[in-house]
Order: sequence, then C-alpha cells, then structure tokens
Amino acid sequence: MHKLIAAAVALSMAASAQAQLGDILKRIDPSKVRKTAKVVQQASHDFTEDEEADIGRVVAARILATYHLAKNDKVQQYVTLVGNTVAAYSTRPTLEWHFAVIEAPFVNAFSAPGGFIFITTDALKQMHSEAELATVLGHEIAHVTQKHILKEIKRGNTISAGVDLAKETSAGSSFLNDEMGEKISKIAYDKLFTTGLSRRDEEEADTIGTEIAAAAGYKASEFLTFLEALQKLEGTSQMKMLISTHPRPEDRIAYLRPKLKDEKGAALAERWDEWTQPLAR
Amino acid sequence: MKCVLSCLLLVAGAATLVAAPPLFHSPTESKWSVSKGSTSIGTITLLTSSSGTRAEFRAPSGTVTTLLGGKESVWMRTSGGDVELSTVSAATPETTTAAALLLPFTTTKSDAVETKDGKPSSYKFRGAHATYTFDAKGPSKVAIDLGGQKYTLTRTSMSSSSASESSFAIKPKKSAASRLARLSGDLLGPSDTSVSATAGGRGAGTKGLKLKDGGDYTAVKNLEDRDAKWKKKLDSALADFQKEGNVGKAREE
Repeated sequence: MHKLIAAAVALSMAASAQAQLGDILKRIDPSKVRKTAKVVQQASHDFTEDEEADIGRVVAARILATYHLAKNDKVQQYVTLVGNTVAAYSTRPTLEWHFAVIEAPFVNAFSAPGGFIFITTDALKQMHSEAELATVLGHEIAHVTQKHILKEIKRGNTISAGVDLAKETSAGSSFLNDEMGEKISKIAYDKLFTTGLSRRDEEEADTIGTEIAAAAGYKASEFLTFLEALQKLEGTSQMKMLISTHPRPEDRIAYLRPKLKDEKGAALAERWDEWTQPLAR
Repeated sequence: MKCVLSCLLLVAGAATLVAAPPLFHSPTESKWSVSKGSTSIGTITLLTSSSGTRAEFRAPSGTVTTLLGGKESVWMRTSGGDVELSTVSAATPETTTAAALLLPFTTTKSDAVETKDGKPSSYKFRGAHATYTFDAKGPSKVAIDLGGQKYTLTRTSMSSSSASESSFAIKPKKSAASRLARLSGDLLGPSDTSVSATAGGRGAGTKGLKLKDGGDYTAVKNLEDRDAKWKKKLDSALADFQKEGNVGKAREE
C-alpha cells in the first residue's frame, strides 16, 4: 500500500515538472537556443589544421609587427634545418612548420599555433652547440603539439563566440574576423610577452622538447648548458621577459637534470660554430 | 760606441719575435698530463715529424679532440674533414692546450711567438698565453693562461717516433660556403621557376588573411612564401644535413 502511494506521488511530481519545463521552453526564443548550442559546440570544437593555421597567422602577425626577421639567410636556413629535423620526431611531423630568427635585444623564443616558431638573435648568441638549439626549438615545437596557446585562446571564449559570429558574417573566407583577430592577438601577446603560460605547460614543453630532440639524435642535456648560460644573465634586460614568462632557469635545471642524466647523442658544437659565424657574439 | 755595443747586447739577449721554431727537432712521441690547478682534466699525446705535428687531447670521459699542425696553420679534425682552428670561435681548454704544443704551426699568422736561445719561450694565441720550460730532453712544462684560467701541461714520457706521414695528413673540409650551400640544398639559390611562391605551403598566401588587428600579415605571408619556395629542396637538404651530423633519419639508417 505504502509503495502504491509513493508511486502515485512520484508520478504526480514528474507530471508537474514536465509541465513547468514545457512552460520554460515556450518562453525561450528557438533561434537563441540554436545559437547557444552552436557556441557550446564550437567551444569544444577541435580546430582543423587550416583553422589552427589561421589562428597561428594572427599570433605570428602580432610578433612580426614588433620584431623583424633577421636578415641573415644562412642562420635562417640553419634554424629551419635543425627545426625540421626535430619536428619530424614530434607528434605532428606532417604539420607545415615555419622556423624563423627574429631580431630582438632579449633572449626568448615563441611559438604560435599551426607551427610558427620564432627564436631571437640574442637567444642564439647564448648557445654553443646545435643540440642547444635543437632542444630550445623542441620546447617551442612541444607548445604547438600540445596546443598550449590554443588552449589559452579557447579558454578566453574568444573563438567560440567569434566562430559563430564569423560564420554568419563572412562565410566563405577565413573563419576569423577583425574582432576575433584583435582578441586572439591580445591573448597571445599577454601570454607570450607578459604573463606567460602556466608552469605546468612550460614544464611539459621542457620535458617533451628535450625528449624529441633526443629522439632526433641530439644530446638533450645540452639544454641544461643553455639554461646555465641564462642563469648568468639573470637580472639583465636581456632576460627580463623570459623570467616573467617562464620558470626561473635554476628551477628548470632542477626538474630537468634528473631526466637528462644519461643523455647521449650529438652536441655538434663545431657545426654550430660554422653556421652561426655571421652572428657577432 | 758604448751605446751601439749595449744596443747590440740588448738585441742579442732579449726575447725576439721571429718565425716560430718547433718544440721538437726530431720525430717524437710524447705524452702530457693536463691539469687545471690541481685537477687533472686530460692527457695529450703529441706526435711530431719533419712535415707536421699532431696532438690528441683525451678527456677523462674518453672524448678525443685532435689538432693537426700543417699547411701553415693549425687544424681541428671533425667528422666532415679538417677545419682551420681559427674558424672555430670557441676557445676551449682542449683546443687551447693542444694547440700550444703544435709549434712551429700557429693558429694565425699574427699569433705572437717569442723565442729565447732558438726555442719558443712564450706564445700568445686565441686569447691564451703559454710559457714554455725546457729540460735537457726538450720542452718539459707549459703553463697556459686562458682568460684567467690556469692550465699546466707536464710531459710524462717521450720517445722517438716512427709514426707514418699519413698521421699528419690534413684533409680540409670543402670550403664552408660550398659545403653549407650543398647541405642547405642551396635553399636560397637561384629561384626554381617550377616552384610557385605558394606551392606546397598549406594555404601559403592563399587565404590572404589580413585582419585589422595591427598584425603584420605581409611579413607572415613573406615567411610562408619563403618556406614554400624552400619546400621542394628541403627534403634533399635535410638528408645531407642529417647525414653529416648523424642526426634525424640518417641516424636510423
């Protein structure tokens, strides 16, 4: 008997809830519901390579609006050759990678979604071997393969809202529009030049970067040599930006050293000297 | 008259700058210990002959750095051939200590070698300053100051040598320019007209993305165009580059 009463009460509550839900749905504009659903869908959307490349172009354009490509073809070629050698061992070997050296009076390297990698002339001047370059490029390649910047851009809901808007306003061309370009550019600028990515993302890039450089045959422990050189520059204007956007070199050395203890592979210091002679140290 | 005599005496007695004399006058093989302060950092085996000199620095890790004196210069042996030490920017303890034993061959013609009694007494080269001590058999100790770091080379053994002349043969690498051009597949050489500026590059310039966000989209397009032009030659350039450095796919073969 008790069971029958309980079932009757439950049925009556369910009927009431259904009626209330029906009332709510009647009050909602169906077009708004469709638009919201579209935004939610886009927020969890995995971008195609072309879409990612367009986002990367926005970020790269922001970088290149501030810093010019170094006018040194030999060094540009060298960085391209080393970069492509390492990228082949990443999880995205078929991505159209672009490696470029930019003139800048500070030590840093940047990556943008879609495979754009930039390294400053001052960063190169702190290196002594090809393996150091390979590991630094490996770090940047890892930011791309792990989509770190892309995640930050997504987190800002820039793309979800923007994609929806863009598809309504400029179908057929890039899925980005001016408003989104500005938002992406701002987020990327903040992350790359001011606040930096999370420590977790940086550690992941350090780990994966050294792993793929080692897989390509480079002596990954040379990354420690580079970080030690940076340690000596701490407190200088050359290091200000890197310190504000990355973990301190000593912290990076501390968590990387145990992983890189028995690293073998090629350092290629002589080849480094040969190719980078045009860079006046 | 008094002045002339004293001047002559001064000239005769003072260290004089002349073409460098050799450290050893007959074919020898000598072993040297190398220390920095009281710490041993390696050993050097030095071979001399009438035509050349050869020094092999062996680090405790087993890594060997080989320098050769000949063809009026000092050369470093590398996997792709011998390169003049003067073209290598880094002055390491290995190359500096070994180079100090290669006289009469100097790293550049402007290196300063001082002599006394027909023997080298000091040698300034590549930011280093070496001073030599002799015993009855020949040079026995070399003190080197490299940017404030002090290194000491002590002869531990010496014997006559019958090393073949091939040990002293210098095989220079092809000229850097031609070799680098080959390694890079001459990526920046004359444009291959069969490759369009946008070929191969994923969307290189095809989308014409140009937003009003202050970004330099022309620079991005130029970068993509550059890589699209390189793309056709990149694979063969990478193959040579990786083979020479024993990295990448060449390492797996």
